[in-house]
Amino acid sequence: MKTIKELGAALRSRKIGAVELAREHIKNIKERDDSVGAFITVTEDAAIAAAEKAQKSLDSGTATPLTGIPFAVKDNICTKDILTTCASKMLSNFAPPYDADVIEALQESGYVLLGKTNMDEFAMGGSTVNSAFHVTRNPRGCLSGSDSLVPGGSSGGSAAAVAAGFAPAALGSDTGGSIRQPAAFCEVTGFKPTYGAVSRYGLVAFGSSLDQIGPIANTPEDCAIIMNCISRSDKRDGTSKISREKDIPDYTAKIGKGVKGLKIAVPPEFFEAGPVTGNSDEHIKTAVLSAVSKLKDAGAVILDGDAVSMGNALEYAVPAYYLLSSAEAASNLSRYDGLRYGVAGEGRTYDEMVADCRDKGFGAEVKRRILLGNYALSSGYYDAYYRKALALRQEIKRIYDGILSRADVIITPTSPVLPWELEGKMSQDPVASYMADICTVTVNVAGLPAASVPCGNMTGLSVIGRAYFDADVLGVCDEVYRVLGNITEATA
Amino acid sequence: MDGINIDHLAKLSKLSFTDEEKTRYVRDMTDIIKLMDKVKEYDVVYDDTAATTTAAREIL
Repeated sequence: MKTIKELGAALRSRKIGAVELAREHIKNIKERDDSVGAFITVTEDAAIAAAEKAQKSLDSGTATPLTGIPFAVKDNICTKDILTTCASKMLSNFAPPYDADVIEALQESGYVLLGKTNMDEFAMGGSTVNSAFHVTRNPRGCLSGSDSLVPGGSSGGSAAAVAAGFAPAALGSDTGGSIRQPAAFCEVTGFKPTYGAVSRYGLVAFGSSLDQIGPIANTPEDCAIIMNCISRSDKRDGTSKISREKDIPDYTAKIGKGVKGLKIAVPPEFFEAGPVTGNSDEHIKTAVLSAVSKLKDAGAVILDGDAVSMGNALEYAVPAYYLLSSAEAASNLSRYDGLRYGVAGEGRTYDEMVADCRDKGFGAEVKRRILLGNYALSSGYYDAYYRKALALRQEIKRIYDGILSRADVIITPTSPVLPWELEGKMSQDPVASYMADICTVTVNVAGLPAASVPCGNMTGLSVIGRAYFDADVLGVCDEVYRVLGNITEATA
Repeated sequence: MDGINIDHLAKLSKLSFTDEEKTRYVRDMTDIIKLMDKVKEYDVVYDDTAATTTAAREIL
């Protein structure tokens, strides 16, 4: 495994050429991705062309930290003239006429796009089983003798691509944990920035008030390097909160700075066996608390117990999140009617044509979310479900504000469960899979930055920070990465 | 929780189902809405004023 930092140094010192590096990665994908299924589209010709251009920047001394670095990009991020399917039959032939803002930023930095990665259809799911095209297998599971474990989701292809060594860096999107949970399952680092820190322009919308693009890489430092490129002002996204150059932070500022004196909250509810997290794996609890203990040894101040309790709000977080995200999805996905977007439908009337298009184009999980969203928004149910979920959103934000007024960051497990079998109950039972999101959804509801860093044996430790204190989150993750040693390589 | 009127929901969602699919989606949605019903237990009211104030601050 080579990091962006190491590859960047090798490229700039001419130990390796950008084209050679791109060819090496493409060859690896061609030889091994049949057994993983990380990619939907591999862009070999475009990758070589981009690498040739990157080499010119390297030769002329105008390279950035990402020049010549191979990337995998989730297939819901628009790439001009390159298929962007959202892993859905609905968009199976959709090649956008424009690039997402993050893609423009990466192009300006000289990155090399290797291809587009598999995902749960329209980012709805936590297993990548809900792809219309094929499943993705967890590369870490393959290494430990089981090739039938999910990689997590919905950014499962991106996490698997990094874990399998197909790319040193990837982009994912996170609406309720879709970067962090697959990062945990695949033992890589995934970062969900503060809502508004990265432009959503060109990200195919799921839950617009929750969606955020972020990096997946081998180390927290690599994630910080990517964030320094993709976090920037963008007038095309009305929720982009970074409006001036001086607002843009240095995401690497806290890397290597340690945690001495840092106050870390450990809310007990995330570790308790109860009605919500009753299926928590004891191994996960032990691994995360062991890491917390090592941070304490490194000088952090640990706050636990009632002072940093979430109260019983966590029990209501999953339904609140699913009501909000599904309501937004029902609205966002109404554009797929076979006229503006989507497969052509047949029928005698307009309504029949639209329904036929949507029946053919959407998979079962997407249909369930649209049904739930319309149920929550419909007359007679709006106040009881949608408005109550909005109230819970305010409550969860208030609770996080309280805890983060006493602590610098919060640590929790990334997932209450380990990766499950591709064909297992969790892949068939919607309610069970929704409940597995308990540790991640509150972060999106509150708009906070959070990352998952490997904690051993397909377990992730999640660090949550104050809004716009993204660098603090990455700094703590970096310390976890250092104090635990390189767990991924040790277990591989 | 009321029974699911799948025909009405399908119409709102611009979807159409076969009888077999209707049976499956009624079963799935009944389980999902049972989970969603939990939000009714939490004693909290949405504060429109807070939302307006936040939005105004962000615009300014």
